[in-house]
Amino acid sequence: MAADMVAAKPARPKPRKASPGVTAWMRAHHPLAWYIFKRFLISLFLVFGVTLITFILTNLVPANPVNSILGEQEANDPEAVARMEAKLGLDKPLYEQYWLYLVRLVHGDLGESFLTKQPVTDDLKRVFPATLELGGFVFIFTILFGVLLGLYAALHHRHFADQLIRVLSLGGVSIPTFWLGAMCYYFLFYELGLFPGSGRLDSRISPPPTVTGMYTVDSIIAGDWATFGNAVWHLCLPALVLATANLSSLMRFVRSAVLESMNQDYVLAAKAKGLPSHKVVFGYILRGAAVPILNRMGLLFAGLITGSVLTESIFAWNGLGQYAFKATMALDLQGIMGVGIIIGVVYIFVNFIVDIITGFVDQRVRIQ
Amino acid sequence: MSDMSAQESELFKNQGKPVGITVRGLTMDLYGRRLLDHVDLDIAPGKINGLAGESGSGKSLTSMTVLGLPPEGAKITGSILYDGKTELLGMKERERNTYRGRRISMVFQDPTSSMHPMLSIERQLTDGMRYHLHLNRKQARKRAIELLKLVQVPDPENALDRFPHQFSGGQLQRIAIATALSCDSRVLIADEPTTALDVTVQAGILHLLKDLNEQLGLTIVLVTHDLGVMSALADTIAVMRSGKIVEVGPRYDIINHPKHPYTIDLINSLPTRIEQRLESEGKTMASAEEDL
Amino acid sequence: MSENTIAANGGTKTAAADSRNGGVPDKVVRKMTKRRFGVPAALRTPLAIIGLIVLALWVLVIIFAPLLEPHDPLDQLGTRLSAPSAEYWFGTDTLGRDIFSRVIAASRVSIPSSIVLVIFSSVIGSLIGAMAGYFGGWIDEAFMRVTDLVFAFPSTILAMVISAALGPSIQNAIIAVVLVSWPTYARLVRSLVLGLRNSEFVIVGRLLGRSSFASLFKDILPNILPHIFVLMFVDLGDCLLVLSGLSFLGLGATPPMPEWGQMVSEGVTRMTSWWLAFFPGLAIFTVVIAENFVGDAVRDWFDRSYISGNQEGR
Repeated sequence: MAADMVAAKPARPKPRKASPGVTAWMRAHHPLAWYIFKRFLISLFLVFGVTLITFILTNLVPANPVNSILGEQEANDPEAVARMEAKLGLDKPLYEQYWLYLVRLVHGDLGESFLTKQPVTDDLKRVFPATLELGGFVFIFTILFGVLLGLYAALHHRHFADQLIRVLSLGGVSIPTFWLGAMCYYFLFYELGLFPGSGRLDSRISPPPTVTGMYTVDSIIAGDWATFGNAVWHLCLPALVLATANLSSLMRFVRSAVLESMNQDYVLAAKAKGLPSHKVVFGYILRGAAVPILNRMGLLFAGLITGSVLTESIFAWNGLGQYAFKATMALDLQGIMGVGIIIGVVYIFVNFIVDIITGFVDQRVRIQ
Repeated sequence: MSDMSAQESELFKNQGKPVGITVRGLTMDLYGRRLLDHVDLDIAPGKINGLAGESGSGKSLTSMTVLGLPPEGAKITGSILYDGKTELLGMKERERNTYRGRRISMVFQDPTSSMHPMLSIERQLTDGMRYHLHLNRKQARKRAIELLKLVQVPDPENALDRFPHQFSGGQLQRIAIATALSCDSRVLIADEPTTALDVTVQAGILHLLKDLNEQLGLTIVLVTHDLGVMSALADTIAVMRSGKIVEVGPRYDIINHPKHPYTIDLINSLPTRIEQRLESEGKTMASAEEDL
Repeated sequence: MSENTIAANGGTKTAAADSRNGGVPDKVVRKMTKRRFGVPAALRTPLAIIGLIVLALWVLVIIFAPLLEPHDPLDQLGTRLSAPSAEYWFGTDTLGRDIFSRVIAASRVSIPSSIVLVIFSSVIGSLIGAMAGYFGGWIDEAFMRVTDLVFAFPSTILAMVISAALGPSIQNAIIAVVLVSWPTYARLVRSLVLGLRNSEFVIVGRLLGRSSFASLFKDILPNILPHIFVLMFVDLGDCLLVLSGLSFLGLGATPPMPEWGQMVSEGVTRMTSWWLAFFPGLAIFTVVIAENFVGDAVRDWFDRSYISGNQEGR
């Protein structure tokens, strides 16, 4: 992921020397490129910060990884403990440990999970696509319907549709995700058998050849429509559960952002020009609400991560959330750090993209 | 305004004589409250028609209703005649849109909030004409440049590509006036067009309105609480209070010989009048402030 | 003129200081905000009333919990996993404990702990945000970077790790969530303080000789408190959800102490008996939705009366 971000670095003239002249010139002549460059630097800083936080956190955890790895017998043998500590680099000072950790990180080495006895990188490669499939699907679905329904509610402010959407979304944000998951599992799977209750595919179906690791995408690539159908069918319940709270809260947010935009003078001025309502709505009102809605995307992402921990544990969806949960419960430090970093980096990446889109949508942010 | 007549012939060649609007018995109720009460108003063609009153008097409400944007849920009765023959009240929204912004347009109080902060000047200036006049982008841009010249915005080519936050309030108000004129509107409603501006640029905007009125035969409705502005510009003045017209007349009569007690109060509250009155009472401004 | 400008910035509490502190007349720094009295119309909507009734019922349940429990919530009554019946309204769990009694007993754990959580994170967050906003400079810069980081890090994972590290208990769960939720308050308060810091009434206060501490706590904070209260109220339901979520994962309340989230998680392991998970989850849902109904109305009313001002005149 980190490598991707470097590759995605925006095309910009090479800053030969960061003299004030160059920055001022960039700011004046290529405000957008300059803005993107600045956001990129901030993102890099945040990625660095995330590695620091994960490192500090795992050092604060009062668990002794050496004892856990060695088992009881060997833990009583001081020599074995010392050997293990040396192997893990625990005998070195903290800053050096952090440096070593960074160096290994750059090489894609996140250490070995003591829970799965596998390199954490391999574990993440296995579980990340599962969560990306579920979360990505819900992300797109949520944005599409959240914006449409929120907009619809705002445009029908105080009418029946608005009231209905308001009650539904208040209900949606109030349902505990884990409870909704349990109830869906019980009623829709156990009682009615409408949807499969666990896993990403029926056990009799073997996964499609791995390209992305996402079964829906891979089965399309393989042209295996039966597997695709089964994967989508398995996706339904977890997606429904994960989407409910997030869709409801986005809908509410869009509604109030659009309402706020509707009350601006520029909307009145647009109406005064005699423009037809669809031009006023999409050209002016939605445009005015775009920046707060875009900024909300980061929060939506965080909500999806939270939800995925709970959702995945109910539907045995072998993804990042479940992996994070298992690693946490076992105090598997390497695993926790790996999860923390990948989620942190994706979150920062999402926000970086959102910032760039914001830069295109609103000229003012580039000037700041 | 030196090169204006040349622009004018190019821009406004297809417009006829000045147009007036006749408002009769305009009454509006909203949630059981009477906001306008039998308002009769003659907006004289080719004149600057002043509409005065304190905030909440219904002057903005009247002008928004004439424009065709009354508050949602309002019950309206009466008549608004465009050019003495076309009834605007009760017109279907589709048809109404061919008047709003096309034949009657509006300039708002604060240009920094009435311009969309995220849309370029070109977009906001040409939106109306591309829709109403069916111009393509190139034609609209050409016309926009002419309009900006007309309202004396410097460097029009460049200005079109910029955004509202890059202009001063006065420049923005000029652009807003250009937008209002973009579809050959015959009636311009200016709602407190100078209130939000610096004193130094107010005069420029007022001059511009006056010139447009004289040279294009544009009918202007000047809505303001500022009788100073009104007395400088308006040909006739109507004074509103609590949703009613209390007094109408030529500017000279209203300012110098007001009859209605409310108009007299308004006139007396003009800063120059206060000084005069205090002088006659043998007080100074400073001592009066202490009394407060 | 100066009076009007001050009034536009909201009510001030500097009135007491000015007569002592020099020749600035009282009326210059007078409290100008118009407050409406009585129950505002926004709070009289059907949803808000339903919400208030449900919340009031839950308060009664918390107060009279021991009287309302038909059985001892910890008592293993022999009949295991019996479906809801006249004897056991909500059925019994795997150990034969009465779920109805446990749901009632758990209200004394779940609801107060979410209130405690909101209070802690709002106080901590507000103080930090106020400092950052008021003093600016490097304090603000450092603070902004820290909140950026906390926001950049997935808060659930952070809370999970913290509470796992501290060991599962309801107190540790609260600490963990406070540690990840204070930045929300800090950001709000910081932006509000920034907005007020340079307003006339604060500057007048400073000119009259207020210390920066007094200026922050006596002039600025009273104007911000309503905003904080509204956020706290709106946040309450979310906190209950997060806390019970942690308990559901086994990182909150520990058995045998009854807690709603943890009861749902017991139920999930036995999906054949739906009542195990259904009733405790329903309890969470009713509290949170009632709270959101009221919170929504409060925010509506607040937005209308404090932020947008009066919309009349057009």
